[in-house]
Amino acid sequence: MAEAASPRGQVLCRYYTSGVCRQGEHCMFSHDRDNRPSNICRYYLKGHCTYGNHCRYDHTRPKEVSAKHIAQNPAPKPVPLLKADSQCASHKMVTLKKKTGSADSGIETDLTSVTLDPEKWVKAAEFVPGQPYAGAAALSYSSATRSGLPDADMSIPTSPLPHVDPEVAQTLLCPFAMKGYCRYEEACPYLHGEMCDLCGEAMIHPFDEKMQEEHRQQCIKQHEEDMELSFAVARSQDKVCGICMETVLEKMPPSERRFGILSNCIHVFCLSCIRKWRSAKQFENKIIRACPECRVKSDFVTPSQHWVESKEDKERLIAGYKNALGEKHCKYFKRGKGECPFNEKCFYLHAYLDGTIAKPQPRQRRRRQNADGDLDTFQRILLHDFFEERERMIELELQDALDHLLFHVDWLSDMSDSSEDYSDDETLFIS
Amino acid sequence: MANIAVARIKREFKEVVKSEEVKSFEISVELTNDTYTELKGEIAGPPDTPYEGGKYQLEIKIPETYPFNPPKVRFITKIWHPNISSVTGAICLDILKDQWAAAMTLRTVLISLQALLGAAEPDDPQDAVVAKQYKENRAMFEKTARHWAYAYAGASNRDPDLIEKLKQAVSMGFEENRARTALSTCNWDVERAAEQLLS
Repeated sequence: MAEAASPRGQVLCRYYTSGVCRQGEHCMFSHDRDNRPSNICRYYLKGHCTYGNHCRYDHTRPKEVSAKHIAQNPAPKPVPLLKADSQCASHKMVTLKKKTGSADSGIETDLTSVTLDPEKWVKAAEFVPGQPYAGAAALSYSSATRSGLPDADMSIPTSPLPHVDPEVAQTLLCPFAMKGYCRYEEACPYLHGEMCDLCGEAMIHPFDEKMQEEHRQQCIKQHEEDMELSFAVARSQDKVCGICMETVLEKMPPSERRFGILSNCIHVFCLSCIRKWRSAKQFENKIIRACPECRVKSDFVTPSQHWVESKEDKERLIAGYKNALGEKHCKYFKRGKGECPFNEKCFYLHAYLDGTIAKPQPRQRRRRQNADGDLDTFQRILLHDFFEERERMIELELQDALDHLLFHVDWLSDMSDSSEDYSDDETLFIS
Repeated sequence: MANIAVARIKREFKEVVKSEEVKSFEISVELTNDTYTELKGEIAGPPDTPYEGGKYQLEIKIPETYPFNPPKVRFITKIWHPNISSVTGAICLDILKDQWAAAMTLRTVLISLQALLGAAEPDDPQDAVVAKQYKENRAMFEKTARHWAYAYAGASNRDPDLIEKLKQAVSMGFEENRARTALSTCNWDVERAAEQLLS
């Protein structure tokens, strides 16, 4: 505890280990390399470190740790816990209880006390959530990150805990056994499930029938999904885009390997091709909105990773697509600041800043009486269209002005030919 | 040229070469340059039409924006048809203009052109003179078209009557092709054709 109060924390400064800590004396992390067994590579301890000689952690077994302790705690453990074995055990108890019970409240109290005292920032919940912030044990990076995991229970079975609550342990399946091998085998305090013949993992609870059934249902569902996916992939395999004539699933780059599904026909196109066709400007709307193969009109294209042909699948895909788009804010509506030309037909979300969904606006018709006394209807014009139109008008006007000018010049030159009293000034003025 | 255009033409080229129509000598395509931007097509005149037995060569230019824009196709072989210019070989066919679709291919275009030879649209003409003749004097149109197929496309149906008239015009000192065009537009009236040629 006394050590914990020192300004330098218990966690070894990682910049210092690399030789580049700029904080020097003022660093909140420990610069005491010798005293920190967290410096020992935990992968080395497990038997294999991919970095080999280049590993920045020590590849030595901690000498001061007794052989017995290694057997008990093969994972790298902070050194100070040696001085108080009993304390260590009780600390683990606390951890476990917190995880099973009131973990949240524990963290909260830690947080408040830590934030009050800047000296103890280093022990803030960010580094050691779920742990007593001023615990006797110095923390290694690995233990700090491990206990920070949301389901920290995963880390516990690595070292069999003598004080595991048997009731708790008996309800949980050992995750290592699930994945194939638990090093503690029979001695593991957690349940080792039976092999599931569908997923091939030891996931079946030995006696709880409800959990057995639950897992089986899950497995069957997963299996069905996998089957469906593989059918979808097989279906899509040799589909050729009608526009670029390439096999869609072989296009390069792989991001191009998407189908653009038309709602009203069953012709195959890749997404980029059909979108390009539908945005072509040189044809009438009627032509580009139609399928390039059969000329059946479809209102929109749905992107899909796989080829979808049957009506039900297509409906499901389109519904999913619309749902996904319905969660995104419309870039025209701009949360109430803009106006969407598609109005209630827009697939995107029309919601205001406070989250309320906009009601479909009735289309407003503005009318005015023009000079002849007839009624004119105002069309809604996008600014972009207006600019385009105006630019064209300006070009036309310029052309007109030029024609006029040329005409004047011609006329003037005729005049100046006939009567010589026109001064040069006038010609200059005109030109 | 855009990548997609070249890649597609290469694929289409293979498709045409393998197609049934090529096997039955109805259509064919060959490359005229290495960049796949220009090709030469050939279609056979469809049976039971004045063009039967003729081989018509086509110039095909692939735009950079292919297949989002139609290829530019023109008849190299001269032909007497309401929808094809007898002078330039320009074609009036909707799918080569505003009715193009990106899924159409060289093969479908060539087959469509072949179909056009069998089913003229005189109400949407490219060559007004031919269209007028087609509508007013169908027999004369067919005779003329058959003669053009014989003269330019290598068809075997020769019409001795028309050849005789052409010889008359040529003996008057007119160049053969010009004389043929003039005679065709004047319903093979030698005097009127001569007048037209001199005017």
